[in-house]
Amino acid sequence: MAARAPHNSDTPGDSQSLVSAIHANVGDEGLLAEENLESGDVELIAAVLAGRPECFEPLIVRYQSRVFRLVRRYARRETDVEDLAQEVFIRAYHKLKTFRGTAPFEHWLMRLAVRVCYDYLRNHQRRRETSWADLGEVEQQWLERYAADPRTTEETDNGARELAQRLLSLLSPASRLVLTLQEIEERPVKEIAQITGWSVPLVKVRAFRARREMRKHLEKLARKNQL
Amino acid sequence: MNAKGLSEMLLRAARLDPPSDTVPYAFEKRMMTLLASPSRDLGASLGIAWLWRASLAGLLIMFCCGVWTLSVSKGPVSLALELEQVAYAACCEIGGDAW
Repeated sequence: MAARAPHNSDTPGDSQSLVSAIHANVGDEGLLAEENLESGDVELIAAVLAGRPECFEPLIVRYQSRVFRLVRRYARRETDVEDLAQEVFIRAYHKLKTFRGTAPFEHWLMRLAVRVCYDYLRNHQRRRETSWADLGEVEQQWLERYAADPRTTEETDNGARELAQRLLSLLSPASRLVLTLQEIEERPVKEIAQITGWSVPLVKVRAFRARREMRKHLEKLARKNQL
Repeated sequence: MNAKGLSEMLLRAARLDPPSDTVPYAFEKRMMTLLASPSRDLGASLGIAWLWRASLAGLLIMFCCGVWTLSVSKGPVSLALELEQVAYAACCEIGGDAW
């Protein structure tokens, strides 16, 4: 069975009008120049919407590495990573008609990917497998070194990386999302608000709570390890 | 232990450790096959979406009926009388003069 296009229009005229509509939206925005759109994205999207689903494949090829990199920030198991990346492209395909061309397709796709990852974090909140109880040897050694002398401890060590990942996985979904976007990816608050759909004050409040939550977890860790 | 300093250091460690962008072999081909096949999950999710819509419409109708009933009823006394009449309606019809 052939793939159903997310739009039921299949005449060449409609495809042309979709391209013009997307181009018109880009023009109306003013702030975003047309060059910002990756060349060919608009045409490929219009073709998919016009009933040629095979034109979605070049879009997958173009953006799959960026989607995988983003998804790996939120999921560690490769099976989960692949499932999430699949979900991103499936949602993108079915929601393609909502893409208006007012921003580059990549931004639209990355926003969608972040929302898919947030849904994943919320759904897996109760099945978190990590805790401070099963600290690995590398993490334990790094932590002891840090407790002895923080100035000589390297943050590039494997222990620090492992511990950072463990700490992030212990946070609530909203805290993890906001810290990943703000502290790790270094995105401005306004952009985080656009990506998440939260208001700017809400992003600030959640970032504040996330830092507090993180410190609380670390204090618990210090008490447990008598550091 | 300084929790603030440690948290900042761990965030820096996470920042210095960018995730890999490797893509599994022929991922795009599998995606296209997946998009081409009729998805049972998608059908189920669409069905659930329609059920939600139907339930919301049902609740709205129920709410409107409730508002309408309250607006036409004259008060708790008439409501009790009406309830009594409805409850005994069958008996009155069966028994006839005996009641």
